[in-house]
Amino acid sequence: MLEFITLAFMQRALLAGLLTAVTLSLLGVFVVLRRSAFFGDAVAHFAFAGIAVGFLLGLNPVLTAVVVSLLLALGMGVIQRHAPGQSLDTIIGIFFSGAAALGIFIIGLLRGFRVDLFQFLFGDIVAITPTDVVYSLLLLILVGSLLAFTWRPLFKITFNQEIAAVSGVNVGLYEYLFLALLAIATALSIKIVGIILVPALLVIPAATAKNLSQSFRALVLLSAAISLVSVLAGLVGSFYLNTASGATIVLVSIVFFLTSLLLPNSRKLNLSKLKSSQIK
Amino acid sequence: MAPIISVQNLSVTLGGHLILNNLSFTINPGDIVAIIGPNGSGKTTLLKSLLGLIPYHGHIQLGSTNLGYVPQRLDFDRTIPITVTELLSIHLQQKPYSKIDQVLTAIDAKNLSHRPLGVLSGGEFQRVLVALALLNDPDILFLDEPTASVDAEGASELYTIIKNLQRSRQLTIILVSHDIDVVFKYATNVLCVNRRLVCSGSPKQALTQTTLEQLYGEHQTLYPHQEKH
Repeated sequence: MLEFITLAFMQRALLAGLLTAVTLSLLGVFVVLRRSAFFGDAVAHFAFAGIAVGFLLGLNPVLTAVVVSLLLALGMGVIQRHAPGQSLDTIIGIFFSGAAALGIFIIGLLRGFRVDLFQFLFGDIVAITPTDVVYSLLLLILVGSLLAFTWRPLFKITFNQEIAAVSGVNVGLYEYLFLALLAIATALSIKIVGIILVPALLVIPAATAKNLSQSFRALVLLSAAISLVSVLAGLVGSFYLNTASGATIVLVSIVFFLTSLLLPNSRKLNLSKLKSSQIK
Repeated sequence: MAPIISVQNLSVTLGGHLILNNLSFTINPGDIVAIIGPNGSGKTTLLKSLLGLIPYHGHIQLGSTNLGYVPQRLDFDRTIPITVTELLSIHLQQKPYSKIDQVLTAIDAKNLSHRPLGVLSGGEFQRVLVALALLNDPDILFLDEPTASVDAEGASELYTIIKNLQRSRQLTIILVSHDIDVVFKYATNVLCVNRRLVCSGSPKQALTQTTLEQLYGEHQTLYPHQEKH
């Protein structure tokens, strides 16, 4: 029954998958609270364009994915802040389509069929190398430590930008920092879990946790836990059913989300009765 | 007494429209100042320019950087799972955490501490916003129509709490209000705004038939509320 755990490729898949799951679920809490799920999709497509640029120029596609994602995400942030009258939805939609079109256009310029390109795009979690595991660990440390220092101002901005600004938060700086962090995490995660799974892990576990929580503490903990269980169940399921691992993980997490909709308010988790001093 | 707020030649243009035109005034520490004027007269714009939230021309000097602010409409997703205590903890700049209990007690909302924000009534939510604004011991409290979504009884209760806080904490309070009755009852000074400064001073001195007509148009008279107490 537990034979999958003895296989080296499955061990690597589990490790990288679980590490990435935690990273994306933590960022996902803010993506969902800011009502910018569509933004997660857009950033995944920025990385897609970046990977295509890497293949075209013969550069490391992970590196070009990070650079292109950063430039497009920050560019989108600049337009959002300085082009009043344009709705965020419209700006994201235009950047989303533009990045997808750019990626497809560049792929058309490449000669021959590139299997490695498709691995990047759709993610092959069972083809993960030991280096990928190290990448996912480093990414979790980067995202975790930056969020540990910035979650308070990020939450204040999510609650109300004006109250945050009056209390001394540099709203613009933290907005750009969050966009940059999201772009980097998305671009690096795509190599591991693919373009479909990244936005799913950003949004679905946090959205499920939001349905189950009454306090912010419960939201963060449940988001990470649901993401971990989804990846674990999805990977094991895909192993025995011989199905695509990424797609199985997404489907499992959607089952959790649909189930969470059934929970009445009175049964939601509220962990705030722990001492206030524990909220650090 | 040195003013805590000093404004000289303040003008604000937004989207090509002149919203405020050349306002100058001062506010002393401990004053409760009501900003009044018709819809679209620039009251909220004046408050936001004092808070540094929008670009302006002219000179604004604040005697303190420790400010509290209760906005008019809070664009807040009520489905965000967060409790009152958590919200206040996140906004608390300096320990001790006992300040959260103190501030909730001060606004008579201690019973709300572990309630999720999304289930609060309009009045309860407004109290939490006032608690949030008071949390870090501000020297100046800015309130933009703090009772807009509260019933008459709740509004009167909230203003009484605010008045008591002003006395006990020596706060300076700047509030935008539509309610002339509130202005007479609670404000020590008034700023009448209709793009420019139409009048200023104590409510009794400043709010004359002439200034009210300048503010709201002709045939405006003061009728006190027939409130039961």
